[in-house]
Amino acid sequence: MFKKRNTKNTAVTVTLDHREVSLPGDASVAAGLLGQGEILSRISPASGEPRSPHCLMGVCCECMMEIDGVKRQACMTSPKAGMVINRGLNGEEINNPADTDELNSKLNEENPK
Amino acid sequence: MSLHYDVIVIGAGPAGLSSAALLGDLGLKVLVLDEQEKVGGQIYRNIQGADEGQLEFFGADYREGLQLADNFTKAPVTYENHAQVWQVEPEGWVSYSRNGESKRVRANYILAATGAMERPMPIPGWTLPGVMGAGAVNNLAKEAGLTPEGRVILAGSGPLLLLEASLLVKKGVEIAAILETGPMVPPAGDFPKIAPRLPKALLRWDFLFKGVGMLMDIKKSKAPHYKGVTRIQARGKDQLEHVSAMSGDKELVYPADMLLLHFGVVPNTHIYRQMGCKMVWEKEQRYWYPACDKWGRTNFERVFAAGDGTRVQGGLAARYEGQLAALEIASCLGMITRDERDGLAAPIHKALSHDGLPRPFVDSLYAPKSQDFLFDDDTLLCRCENVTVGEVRKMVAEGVRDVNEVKAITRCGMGPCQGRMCGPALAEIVGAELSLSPDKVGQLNIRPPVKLVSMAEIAAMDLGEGGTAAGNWLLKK
Repeated sequence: MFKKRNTKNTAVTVTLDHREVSLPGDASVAAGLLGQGEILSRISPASGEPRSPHCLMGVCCECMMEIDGVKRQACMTSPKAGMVINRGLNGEEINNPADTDELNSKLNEENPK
Repeated sequence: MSLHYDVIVIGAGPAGLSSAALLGDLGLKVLVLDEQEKVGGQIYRNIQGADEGQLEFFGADYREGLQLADNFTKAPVTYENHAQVWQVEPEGWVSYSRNGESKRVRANYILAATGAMERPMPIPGWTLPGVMGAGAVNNLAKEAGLTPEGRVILAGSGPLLLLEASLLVKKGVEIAAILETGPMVPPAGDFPKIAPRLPKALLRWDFLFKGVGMLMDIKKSKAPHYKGVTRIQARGKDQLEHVSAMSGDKELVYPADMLLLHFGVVPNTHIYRQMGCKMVWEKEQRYWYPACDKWGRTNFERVFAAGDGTRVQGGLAARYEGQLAALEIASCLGMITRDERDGLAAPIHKALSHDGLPRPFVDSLYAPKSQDFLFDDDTLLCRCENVTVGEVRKMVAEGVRDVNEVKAITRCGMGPCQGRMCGPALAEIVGAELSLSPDKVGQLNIRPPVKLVSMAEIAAMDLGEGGTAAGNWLLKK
């Protein structure tokens, strides 16, 4: 979807969805991923549909990913070597530690839909 | 470390940069908080990292930011990037998150220069991967040297849509179509409003000439260019496949890889609204902005606003407004006399009005109309919480009269973007259903934190003056 102009980028290696990828060090995580053809940023938790970044300036929150264990806007995050990024594209739960799972199931038992 | 400043400037776009540099040079202790990685805001994004080729490509308007950014870098001010302001108390406290840690700092004066954003306009399929803001693509070009590839379509209205189209043409991108919602010739009824604004605009032939050059570039590219189109739709299963629109009775359908949307620009007002600034409705452009005097002072004595966050007037005007606010603050803090303030401000006021000459004309040409906001019931309005236009209409039919009630019932505007993407259209929809102007159906209440920050981070923050133990701020409430 994008073609990249040659620049003298220093690349950093990060883990994206359990595999290593190299991102340009001087652009945001969102821009770096788009430059690699990684168009999808997340699955909307409300609709279950895939989404891609929309505004690239910190407004729309469509590029929210789990970055080093915290959900963050990828367009507002600079890549760092060793960063762990999970988009949860296959529907796996992200940023949901076990204790909240437990709490959620308890709440669901008390308030069945 | 002291957490007290003379002035805290929020935002490092043209208004923030010009005001902070001036305030610092006048001897004040200034803290600049900007959420981006680099200074420049959106218009001058990555200006200090751009090579000669980039500067040349984006033209003189972009290059102008270089001097501004360099002056700022040299000025004696404290600057923090990646700083997301999530609460401003008009008495002078600012809470912000940086690198996973929140702080609360204090200043005598606050200057919020929050800038603008593209007007979000729900169309069918606008959440499909492959549909983006035209401004987003502009940002990607400045920040990462990315150019769209494949079948690219631009749709919407406003001068920036055409500017982006001309930039893409210059880059050799083959644009599959440009679909403008604005009419080819403004409707006769609008002439009484538009025509009187032309003579002033003609005083700025340089500006108009630029616009004509842009249109010629687009024309030369031979990209199909339709005006007055309606019902723009993005279609596809898991990503964008087709874009369609109506041109009169004719349906246009284009296979597409990317759809770039742009429907003008509106002020980014969450911080002003969270503070409780008095907001004014801009009737022609259909947006809210904070009420300010000629120095940028809001209804709060110690809170100033400058730049496109107040009214959309462009980068140069933002820079002047930043300087005017800085002069008034410096005079209130006793660094310059009132006479000195007025002497320094006179040429800036003059430059500001010269810069603004063509704007009323151009603004009226591209002003949004109520018929631009005729949405289908099944179009998604709230991208975060998956609320459709029809669900909102149903609420109004059941008796709801205020956007905050719609929010409470449907969750429209309650997701992570906090109503930034659906708020303007929500007011248009509720207003239209009630045959009221959108400013008569309330404004979404904006509450802190206005940025994404975890409760753990807030609980752990150092509250500075007035308490050091984590969480005592909550105890006091």
